[in-house]
Amino acid sequence: MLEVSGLAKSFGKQVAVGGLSFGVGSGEVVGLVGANGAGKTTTLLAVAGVLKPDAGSVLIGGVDLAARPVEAKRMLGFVPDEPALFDYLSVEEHLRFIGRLYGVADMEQRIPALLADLELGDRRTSLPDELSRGMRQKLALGCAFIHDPRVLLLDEPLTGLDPVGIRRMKDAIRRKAADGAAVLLSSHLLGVVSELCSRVIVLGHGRALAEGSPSEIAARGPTLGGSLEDAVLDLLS
Amino acid sequence: MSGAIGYLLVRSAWNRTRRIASEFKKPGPRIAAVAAIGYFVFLAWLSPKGGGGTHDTQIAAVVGALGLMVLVISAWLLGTGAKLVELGPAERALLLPAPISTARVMDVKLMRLQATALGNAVMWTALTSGGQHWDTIGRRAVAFWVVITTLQLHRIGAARSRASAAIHPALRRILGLFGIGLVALVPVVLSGAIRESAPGLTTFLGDLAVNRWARAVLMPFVLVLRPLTAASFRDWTAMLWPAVAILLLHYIWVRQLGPELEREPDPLTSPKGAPMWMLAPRGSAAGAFFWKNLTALVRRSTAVLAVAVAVAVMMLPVGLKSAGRVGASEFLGWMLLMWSLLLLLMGPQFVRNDLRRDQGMLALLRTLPVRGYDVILGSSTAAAVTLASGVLALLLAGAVATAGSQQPPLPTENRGVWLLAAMLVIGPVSLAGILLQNAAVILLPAWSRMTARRGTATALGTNLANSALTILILVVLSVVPAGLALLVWRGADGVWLPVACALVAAVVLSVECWGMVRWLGVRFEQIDASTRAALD
Repeated sequence: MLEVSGLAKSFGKQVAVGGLSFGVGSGEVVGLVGANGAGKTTTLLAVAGVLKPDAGSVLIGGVDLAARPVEAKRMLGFVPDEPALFDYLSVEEHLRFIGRLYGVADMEQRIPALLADLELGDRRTSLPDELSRGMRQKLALGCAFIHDPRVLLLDEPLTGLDPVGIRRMKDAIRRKAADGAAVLLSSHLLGVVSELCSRVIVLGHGRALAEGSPSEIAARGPTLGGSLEDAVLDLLS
Repeated sequence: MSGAIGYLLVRSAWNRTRRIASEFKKPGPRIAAVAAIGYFVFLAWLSPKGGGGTHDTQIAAVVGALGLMVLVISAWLLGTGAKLVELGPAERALLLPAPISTARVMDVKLMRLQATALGNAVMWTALTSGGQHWDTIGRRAVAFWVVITTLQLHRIGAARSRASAAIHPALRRILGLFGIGLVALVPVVLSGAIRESAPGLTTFLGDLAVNRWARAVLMPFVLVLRPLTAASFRDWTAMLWPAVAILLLHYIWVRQLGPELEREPDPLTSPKGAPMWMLAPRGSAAGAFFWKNLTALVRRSTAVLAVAVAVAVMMLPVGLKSAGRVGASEFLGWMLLMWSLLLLLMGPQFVRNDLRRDQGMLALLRTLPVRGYDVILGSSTAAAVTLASGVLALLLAGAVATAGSQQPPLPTENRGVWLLAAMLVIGPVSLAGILLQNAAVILLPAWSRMTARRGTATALGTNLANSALTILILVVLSVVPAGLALLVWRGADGVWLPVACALVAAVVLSVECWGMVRWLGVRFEQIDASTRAALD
């Protein structure tokens, strides 16, 4: 569903991503892990079409993001690490606006269901500055879910959420994958990555240091039967 | 603890000064500084040299008091002082939990504001003290500092009181009545002085200066401003103590309010107006952006107030005419016509419900499945419609007010045709102006961000340079439409000729605007957010 090949992006002399290639299939949850500055967010932003890569290609559902950006983005849902919301649109208006841009046909049915699912039903007329951090995160998630994306990109999706919110977010991600979406997420929480992801890509200096299932990565660690955390720390050191 | 607070203030001031100084390495701030200095030199050159007569001083005092009254009323209605003491994230996280009183935190904020107050006092003294002796200049500087600091404190106090009223219903009712009372002052002040025999501004202000009711209402404002008009040291001392007493009362008021409510949302400053219409589930992306940016306008308290003021101003000529006060109506009409032209030319700078408002949302916009020209078209037309509506309202009100006037350069015949012709070009000219501002967002993002700043000399310079550049490019864009309209003017005849010419100009300018939309759309799609981050 998502094919990234030879992705490269530099900021001046600093190489953020250097020739990264990977794919995410339908129903798969892939985690990007790595130290700060490893290139996780840059990769997600390039796949989302926010950053223009210096080299490489991104195919979303077989559509080239660079050649046909509108068609490619129609299949994409992106949740940034900091919820980006219009300060003058209410919760429901956000969903209406984003839904219209993605051409969601059954918006009238979808919005109440989504609001109920995100527990924002009683805040539908609230503006973003009247919402807590967690609620804003939920709304950003709603904006990414409204059009039922086939590829879901999540940058640190659990940041700022309470325990209930974390559980709901994890459930939502699993549900989307079960519905056939390809999910690519970045996180520093290796326990969560281990729990959610079927495959993990460990990034270091913009390159893939290791790729495989959490148990495969853990098996490469310094100690036999060690955790994913031990293995990742070993790779990054 | 005082040492720590002092350290914070001194280091912050030093670091801020360094940052401002380092900004001047870039060409944008340098251009802005040159424009601001040029503007101030021009104003200082325009300012009257030496003292005026008693009548002039009286009029200046009335103008000053009226200006101060408007600022005070707007502070209560709009909460314009809220940002003055708004705590930053670090202050919230580090100062509020620290073992210091909230009054001390407020002192920190007030001390920081003194940089602005002192800078403004120096600027206004320089602008109004041409040909004066040094001792007079010194006295005036102190008087300006008192006025500016008192106004600052009043704005903060009003904003904090509004925030408290959001939580306490009884206080809300009291403040509501207070606000109505403040607004009611305006007709009390004005009603006594608008006379049929006084169409001129100077005569009107002279009448206002001697009107009993107006003098009573303006007294507190005059007391604060009086030291500015002192002719001798003795007069100045006598006039200064009431002003300083008012300043101290304000300080006590503001300090006891404290910033502890800072974390509470202030619903009065973020009213939630309903959108003009519900967004249909299906339709063009440009239409969705148009809806979004008009909704942004409705959600602004200043926009709601601007509409209320506009309606009142538009009704005024009708009222004056029906009351037989033709001279006053004509005077107001001229003002309205001039304002409509000024708004058309300068408005694109200030009507910002377009891409400029979403400059921080670039990452989100870039993930959406829309073409660049849809974003540009939807965003720009929303702002252009807003601007054109304002210009049109002023033009129509001015036309009603000056109906029957024979003063040049108003056309003496077929005035309705000329009005229609003017109305035809307002839309395309507004759109062109707004598109130029949006072009700056895409092509010169750092410069565009600078135009959003307020309250510094660099910001003023940026806005001046920005307006001048916009008008210049508008003139260049108008060459072809105006040339073609001129050809029609020379080649045809008839009563409706002005409308035909305007129609030609409007169509050609619209085509130019469409070209700009397409081109900016392509540029929008090519923006690399990382390049922008480097630019910003």
